[in-house]
Amino acid sequence: MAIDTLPQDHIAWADVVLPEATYLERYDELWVCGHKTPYIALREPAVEPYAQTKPAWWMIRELGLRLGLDDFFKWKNAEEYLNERLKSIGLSVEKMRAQNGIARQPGKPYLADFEKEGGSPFTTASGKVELYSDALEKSKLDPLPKYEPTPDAPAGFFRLLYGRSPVHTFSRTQNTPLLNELMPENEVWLNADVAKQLDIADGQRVMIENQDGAKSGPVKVKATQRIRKDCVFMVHGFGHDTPGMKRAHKRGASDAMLQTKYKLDPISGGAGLRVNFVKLVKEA
Amino acid sequence: MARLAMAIDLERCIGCQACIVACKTENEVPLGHYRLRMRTTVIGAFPNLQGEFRLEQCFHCENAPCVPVCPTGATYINDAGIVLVDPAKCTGCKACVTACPYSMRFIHPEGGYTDKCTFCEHRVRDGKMPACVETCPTGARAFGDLDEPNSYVRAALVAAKRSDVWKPETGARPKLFYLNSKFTNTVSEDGKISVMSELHAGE
Repeated sequence: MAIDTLPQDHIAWADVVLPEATYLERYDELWVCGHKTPYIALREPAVEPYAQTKPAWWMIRELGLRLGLDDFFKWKNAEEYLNERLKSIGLSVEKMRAQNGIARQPGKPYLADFEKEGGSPFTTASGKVELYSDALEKSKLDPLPKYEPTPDAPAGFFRLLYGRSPVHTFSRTQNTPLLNELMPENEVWLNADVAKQLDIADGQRVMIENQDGAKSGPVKVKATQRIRKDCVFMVHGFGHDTPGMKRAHKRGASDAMLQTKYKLDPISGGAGLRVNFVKLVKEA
Repeated sequence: MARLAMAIDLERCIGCQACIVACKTENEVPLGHYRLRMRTTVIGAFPNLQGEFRLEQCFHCENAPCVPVCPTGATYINDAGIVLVDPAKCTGCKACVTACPYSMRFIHPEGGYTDKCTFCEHRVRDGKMPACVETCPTGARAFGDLDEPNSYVRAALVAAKRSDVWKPETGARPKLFYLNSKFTNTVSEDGKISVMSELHAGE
């Protein structure tokens, strides 16, 4: 079973699809922001949901009731739920609306706010930004992390870089008519000098194949000076495989399909995906 | 008689094309056609590169070549200095499309008349900014009357380190100015701007 606002690729794998209203058509959980100046924001619909789409809270409640889980759904709708949440701080959906949807607290935005109390905004032992970290040392990690290079691309391969275009948001706008028209497909950026050596013309279509044999494309080559010679670059969010995404279907290539490898940062746990290598295969 | 004009600060433009989408939505420009377009220019070789985005639309020329060629008087300059087309008078003969030095005019696929940027005359009339100006997330676009000492466009032109117009040699006197171009090497010694087509070469 899958929930989404669009007939994306992963939706095609599901037996049951629950079409969700978009964020502009539904109530969502309160936006609670614990920044230096904390605030709570109300997220309410701007327009009615499209066709038979429903908000996720509605689907989950209806499923729950049918499974006999009535005790967990004491609220009838999102407004009732949000009112219960807001009651503890003397607010309501109505009151939030009257104050433009935002409830702010004074907070402590400046260093002086902490100094007045003899404290520090940093939770480290020294109360300062720590370049050399005793906490890391205690955990048997390098207290002063050093840069460790990842391996270079093997001969004939390029490091696959990916990023964004200001036209598209993640993988969800490629099918939107106005934005699809501006940028219907991505390109694989290849250094212009390298393209000449490989006898690949600007605009020529190629398949991309990674170190594990995963393939995506065909995709247009953009021969440009705007990239170094050992890397190629693609805008993320293209290469949709499902016919459900009518305009975006089979346009461009998918960087995600070519990321069969990743590396974890031993300290932060952050995943690095730019460790995949690809080659460009000319179409016969 | 006002002289409404626009100036785009190239140091602020990030090439996001939100202005293009705002224009299409505001003016219901049909799919496949644009009143605004973006030209990306890159010069140099990796890693020593310079780049620039130039948004192009009707330049609302003071000496507009599209006006005298119109056989029916459909194309005219209004009291505010905006170049407009009266769809009722336009026969779709394309004389203006050919005359425009910037190729900013097209025939509306359903209406059969010439279509192009109107500086959002319907909004400006009500004291609002054109959609492209209002939507620009970096405030790169300034709009207003060149004859009004305190207008945004004059303030932007006065504050700019450099300004140029596209194809000054045509004598059309366009009223869309580009500010703070990085490509100082394309500015000739007498301060006049060079031909844009040279700038395409990079990419």
